[in-house]
Amino acid sequence: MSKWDALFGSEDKKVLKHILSSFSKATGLRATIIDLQGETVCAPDDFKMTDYCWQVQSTSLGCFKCKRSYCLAGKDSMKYNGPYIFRCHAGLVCWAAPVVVAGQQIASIICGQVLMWEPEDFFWEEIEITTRGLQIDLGRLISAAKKLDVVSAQSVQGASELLYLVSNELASMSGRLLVHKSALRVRDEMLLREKRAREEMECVLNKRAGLINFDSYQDRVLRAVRTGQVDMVEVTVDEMFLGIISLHCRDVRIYTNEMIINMMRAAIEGGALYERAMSGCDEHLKNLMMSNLNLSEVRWWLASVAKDFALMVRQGCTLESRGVVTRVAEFVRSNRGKRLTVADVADAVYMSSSGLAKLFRRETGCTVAEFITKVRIDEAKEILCNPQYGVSDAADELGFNDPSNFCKVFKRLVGITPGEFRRREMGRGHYERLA
Amino acid sequence: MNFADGKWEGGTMNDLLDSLVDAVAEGKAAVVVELVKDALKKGYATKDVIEKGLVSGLEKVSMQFDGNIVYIPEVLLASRAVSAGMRVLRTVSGSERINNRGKVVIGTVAGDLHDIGKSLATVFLEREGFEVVDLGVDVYPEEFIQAINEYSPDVLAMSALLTTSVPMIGETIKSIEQIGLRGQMKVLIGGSRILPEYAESLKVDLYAVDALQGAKLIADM
Repeated sequence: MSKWDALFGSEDKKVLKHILSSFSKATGLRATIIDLQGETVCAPDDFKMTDYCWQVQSTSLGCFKCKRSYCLAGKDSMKYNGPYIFRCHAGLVCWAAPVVVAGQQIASIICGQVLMWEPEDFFWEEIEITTRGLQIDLGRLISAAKKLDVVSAQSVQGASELLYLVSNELASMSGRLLVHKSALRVRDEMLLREKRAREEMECVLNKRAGLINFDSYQDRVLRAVRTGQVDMVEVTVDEMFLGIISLHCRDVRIYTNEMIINMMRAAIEGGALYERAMSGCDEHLKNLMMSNLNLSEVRWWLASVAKDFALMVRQGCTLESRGVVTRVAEFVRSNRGKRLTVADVADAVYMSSSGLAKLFRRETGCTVAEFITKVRIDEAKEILCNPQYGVSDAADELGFNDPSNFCKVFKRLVGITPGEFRRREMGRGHYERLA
Repeated sequence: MNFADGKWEGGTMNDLLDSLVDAVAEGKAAVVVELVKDALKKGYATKDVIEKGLVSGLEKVSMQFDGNIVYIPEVLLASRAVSAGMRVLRTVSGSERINNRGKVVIGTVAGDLHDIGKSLATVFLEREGFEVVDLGVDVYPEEFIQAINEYSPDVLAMSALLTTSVPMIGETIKSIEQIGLRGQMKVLIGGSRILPEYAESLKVDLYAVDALQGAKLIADM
């Protein structure tokens, strides 16, 4: 089953048809939805192809070129994050808008097949060149071209913007469907695992009693810094201080020192400029050494340092590069259970594998494969924090065929095994409940 | 302004070229065709018509685009108007041309519909005395191979503007190598998104970032 069919049931498709039909009636323009291979997956019931397009698509090469024009335009609309206006291989003006679900393009809306000029001699010459090789009678094609709609440049711009708004609405609608389906799946899994979780919790409660672990708090802060979540870092630092409030102030300062260095590393991994992160780290360490802050002041100060590093991640990369790194992370997250290659990821962000590799070296200091692993391990931590999931569930969920391989990778990156991590998190959760 | 209803009514060379700039910027292909014909009739140099008329018109619309005065549809119209002007230049100067410097087969690779750079290179090459076979845009490897067999060119020139279509140049060269035609001619690749390292990896003979440079490299061969 295609992604399109998986996401949209027959009732949803009726709604989509209705939207396209209303759009066509309002603007007098044709609009259809194509999948990523260029096949039409949704069109209004009263949709009628222009005579010109019909003739071009009557040949297999013409049909192939149409599909490919639309595929490329759909991808470009996703790439440029807006409506993409273009001339198709046969010389007509068209535009495309992406249909995106959970950060991934699953289809495109294609509209247009019009002209922005009254057909003149030069257009007949253009048609002759563009349709050369399609084995279509030029005279018939010209007669069909004379029947094409002519619209102004302003109308094309306005209609393409309207179409883009429609595509955003579709994205939001499909996003809601996805959330609903995913909520149902989670509920089923919850019921299945409830018994086992209860047993495990009992075991954990017997073994541990309110042990506070600095590392687990630190992980959350570092994750927020690495992903440039400026608003989140303050909350995570606050959580951390609530967790370690009973420690002596001198110990907090030792942890804070370590924390600053780790935040610097996380910022560079997230894409902050190397020199800026290093000099920021030096400055913060010096300030900490020179100051005589009490516990609540350290709490306030460390939150501002974490914010500073998260901001470096946001500002450190160029907009385009950052967009790519973020999109890669989103793509990896939304394809949790799949085995992804660098080529899959490069395809998803419309770059060549070598170009993406260079960008990653420059922006994150690690290879694409390492980055994928890091994102997955971050995901693994989230999963392991949930008492209903076991280590093998996390491995399975993240596409690791072999749980022992997952454990090895996890230990290499986190320093402890997933099982140890999970037990540590359970202990913290228990402590929080006791507190 | 001396231009009305598609007819030029005299005036200086600058007036005519200014009108040409405006017609390109406004995307009026039919008007551009008439103006270019007039300019050539009056003996204006092809280079001036291209640089001070067509290219300046494109620059004007490009500035308007940067300033959010016009949008992509107007840019598409202007590009089309330039192509129309270029076609006149090729047709008119073609009758007076002496094509004795060699034969060039040129095209934009499959998946890419950008025409302007390739058309500019075509005009420049023809002005230099080359016979140019323009295969158009979105040209497949098989179509390039067919043209090589048919025309036996001295140079095969391929362009790509989109980052996504640049790899198609490599695919095309690979196809040509596979059937043993690569050694028959020099290969030039051009486009602003092509990196020198990529050109080097394909072992092409010539590499250019724009149309003028490409034409010059071929002429200097």
